[in-house]
Amino acid sequence: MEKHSCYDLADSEHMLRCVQEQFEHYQELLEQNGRVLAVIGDMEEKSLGEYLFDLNYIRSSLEQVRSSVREIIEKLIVLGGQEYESLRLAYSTIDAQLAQLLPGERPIDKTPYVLWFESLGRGDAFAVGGKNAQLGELRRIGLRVPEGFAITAWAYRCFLDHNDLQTRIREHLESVDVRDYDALVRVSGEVNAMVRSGSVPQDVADAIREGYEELVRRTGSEAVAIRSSGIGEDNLFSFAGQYATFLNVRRESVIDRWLDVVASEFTPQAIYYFLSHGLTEPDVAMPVGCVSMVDAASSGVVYTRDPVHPSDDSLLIHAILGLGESLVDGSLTPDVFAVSRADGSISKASIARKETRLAMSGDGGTALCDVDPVRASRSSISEAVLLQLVTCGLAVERHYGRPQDIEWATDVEGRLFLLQTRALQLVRHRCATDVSFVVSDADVLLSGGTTACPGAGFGPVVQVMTERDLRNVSDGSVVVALNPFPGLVITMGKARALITEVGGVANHIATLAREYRMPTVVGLRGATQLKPGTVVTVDATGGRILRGERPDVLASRRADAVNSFEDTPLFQGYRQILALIAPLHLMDPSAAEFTPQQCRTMHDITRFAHQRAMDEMFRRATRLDSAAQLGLQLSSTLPMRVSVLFLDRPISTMGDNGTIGEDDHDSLPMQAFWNGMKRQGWPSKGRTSSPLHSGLATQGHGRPVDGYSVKSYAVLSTTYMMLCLRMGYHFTTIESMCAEQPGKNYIRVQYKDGGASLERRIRRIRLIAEVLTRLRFDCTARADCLNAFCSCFEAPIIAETLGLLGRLVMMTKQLDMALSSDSVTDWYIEDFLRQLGLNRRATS
Amino acid sequence: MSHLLAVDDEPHMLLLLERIVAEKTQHRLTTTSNSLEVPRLLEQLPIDVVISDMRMPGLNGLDIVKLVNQRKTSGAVILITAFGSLDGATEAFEEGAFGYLTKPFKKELLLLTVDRALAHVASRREAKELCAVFDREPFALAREGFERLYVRRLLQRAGGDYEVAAERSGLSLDRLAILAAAG
Repeated sequence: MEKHSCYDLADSEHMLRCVQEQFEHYQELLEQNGRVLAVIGDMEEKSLGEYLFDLNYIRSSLEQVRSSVREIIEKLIVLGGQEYESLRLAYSTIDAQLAQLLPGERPIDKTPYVLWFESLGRGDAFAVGGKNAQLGELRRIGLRVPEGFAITAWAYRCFLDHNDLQTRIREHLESVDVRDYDALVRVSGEVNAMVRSGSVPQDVADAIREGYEELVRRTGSEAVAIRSSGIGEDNLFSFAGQYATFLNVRRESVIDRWLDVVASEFTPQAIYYFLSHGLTEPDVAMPVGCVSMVDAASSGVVYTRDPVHPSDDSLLIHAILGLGESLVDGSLTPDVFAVSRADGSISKASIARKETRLAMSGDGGTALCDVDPVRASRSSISEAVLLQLVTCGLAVERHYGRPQDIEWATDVEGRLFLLQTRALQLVRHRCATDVSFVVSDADVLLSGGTTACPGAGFGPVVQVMTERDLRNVSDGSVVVALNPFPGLVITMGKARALITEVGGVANHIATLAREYRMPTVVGLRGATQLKPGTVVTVDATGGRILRGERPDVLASRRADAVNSFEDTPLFQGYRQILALIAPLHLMDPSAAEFTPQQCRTMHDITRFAHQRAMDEMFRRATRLDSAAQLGLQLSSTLPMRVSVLFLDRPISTMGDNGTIGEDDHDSLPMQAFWNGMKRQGWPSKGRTSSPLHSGLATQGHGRPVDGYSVKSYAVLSTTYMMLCLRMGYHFTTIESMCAEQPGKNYIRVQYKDGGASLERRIRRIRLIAEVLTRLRFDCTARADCLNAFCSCFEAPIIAETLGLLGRLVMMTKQLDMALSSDSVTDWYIEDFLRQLGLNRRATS
Repeated sequence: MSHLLAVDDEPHMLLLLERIVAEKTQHRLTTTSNSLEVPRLLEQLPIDVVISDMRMPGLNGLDIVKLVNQRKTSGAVILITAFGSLDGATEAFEEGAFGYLTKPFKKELLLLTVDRALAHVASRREAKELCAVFDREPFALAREGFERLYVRRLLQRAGGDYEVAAERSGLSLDRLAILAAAG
């Protein structure tokens, strides 16, 4: 080969650089893909209740997922072009939903300053705060709530802007030492004063005053309650703030009380929160409710379940005389009723002695009044009201689908109003029977695995080495597989436990296992040596396998599998976040739904982009013709012409005779594959004896095929190989990553047949698919095209598999015309398996 | 029953700690999200082990280690640090922190660390008690101290049964009663 001229060299160098860059983008995408899966796996693991974590963990995990997914999308757009730009939209849709779940991450939407309850529902919590939104929702489902309106988050924002309070508050906060509590208290006082002395924009003040007058017109009463309805208050990810509420407020002080409620947001604790969570300003908006005052004859709380004994049939009602404030702050002892949820019968009634009640005073505000001695020992509510409360309570619970904590009041005419509802926090009890167990070393068959999903399960071992073995899995089996291949999904909900010898917690199968709550251990060495049929207990929590059935372990682990954190606000919020991150809806790349528009989670986007990037690179590989000419000629004992491109070195370091010896490069996957080809050797005519005489002689002399002149070529790095082989009429593309972490490793094979009749091509595809399945590939065959994929193996297994693939390629090369019937094909399948040493392994 | 104190400015974390302690142990747990309450709580409650966040407004983990170690009664502090940052943890160890957990951490790890901390506190207290006996002068006083300790342990072993204790130790019932009353 001639030396490149200077011009050519520069040109070639540029072209090579382009190809290298493409692959760099691709590899970066693969890297980020691995990262996202690892973080998702980690997040799911934390959601199972075995770990304690905090908001910072959630924030930082979320940030990692976001930045990696953004990167993946951009890389895919670079590789695949504009058609993937719609992924950005899918991302921002999901991201906006996530932002709603975390405070300080969502800009305040522009709304009117005042919104009436009749126009609100629970979806409006970000504009008007939780309390206001829930009142709107209750009204929607036909329950009576007081008349009123919300002074929105937007009004709050406009007030802050008008007084440039964000900047002033931020400046104030900058000088504070987070650790100095006294300083926090001082700053809190200062910020409070700033807010109270701020001037209210005219249009905001007008809107509030008009709202108030309209409310008076509607109800005929001038008394209102000004209640905080902080976005943070019902938000799961907030500190528990005690914001201000003012009762019996009159016309002249409505706006001042609104400012008081707004100012109450800036407690020392809240200020600490802003600072320690890296929020530069208090973005937690403070919507406020202006609610017509219910001149309460009685008031109280309904718990639709007994929070301490949630499994009882009871609904609890607390009631006092007068306004409810003194119940909430604990200054009065209430009457307590336990009522059967099933039939409304009262199972318990404890009537407290009532000395005082809180009442509205004539000139605004509230006052404690003495209770008429005759009433003091009577129930504060009638049985009719009690039954009404039961009905309402159950209706609200039904509507929200979970137990509720509802505040209520009755007016002097006996009408019942609901004042607030929120999810009831239940207390879970420790299992009465403390199940413990002792396992002696002799009973441990295998240990040292990683828990992918905790719990325990027992049953007879079924070894599932390839997809074919899946048919042996029956209800109650313990499934053992070498690697977590996608076909294992059918064992979910059927088997009692899953074990894989290789693989980590961050793959689709581990994700599915957690979704199905199937006890799963991964990376358990020696598992594939377990004798089929042996009854074992898989202690997934402990990452080990025990001899026989162990009811003690099973019972104890079952208790573990109950997540005792499930009902905490942190976990409930975390679950909502995870629902936008982890579930995978896009499974089948060939399905019509496999589109950016169908991506509902970050996992979906990642899966989609990963699949499409691999497709793009494969498609590109078949068109790399010109780039192939840039490569070095691989000098080999095999009579094949292969150009080689290295991703990790520039062209000028590749020597100038334009060749590289087959043993002179350091690409691990290429070495493994090529050695396999060499071991099998170049086939000569007639070397394979078929039981039937076949038309081998016609090989290679059929009609010319498009692209026949295309040389074979390989794109390589130390751990990577993309090899496009042109052999006879077949086009085989093999891509592999063979690195240290098994999680990154994979082999992808695409085999396209040409030449022979369709019938024969289909037979050959069947033959190759059979052998590849035995090699633990997932195969999908369509007419004369075969796609096969395997992943998560350790490097030595990948190398071994590549070697066998190399041999298989050689063996099939000569088969062009040989497969004249299905029985001949079967003969060849057996013959190939025997030659590759796979037959023995499968039957042993 | 052992008494634990958990201090963290994030109430979510306290709730999780409460759950796990209530569910898996017999210990009592007091929690606070305000570190400035810790000195008062340490004074008022017989706290054995403190589980404290490292970074908080008011007092930080290091301050709490110092506070606990200044007390007369032994106690241990388990610090909780953010992932990837041992900010100040080394210093806290020099001050005598018992151990630390990095968020997120496993339930079991917490329970194990608490158990170890409690065992540590128990043996520290015992050692202190023994040392105090050894340091007594004159000898008669030391011997008296020993006898009381001995009888207390003996009765514990015998499940509080004086007759069993007398039989096992060879002490007379009267003597046993006198020593037990003195202890």
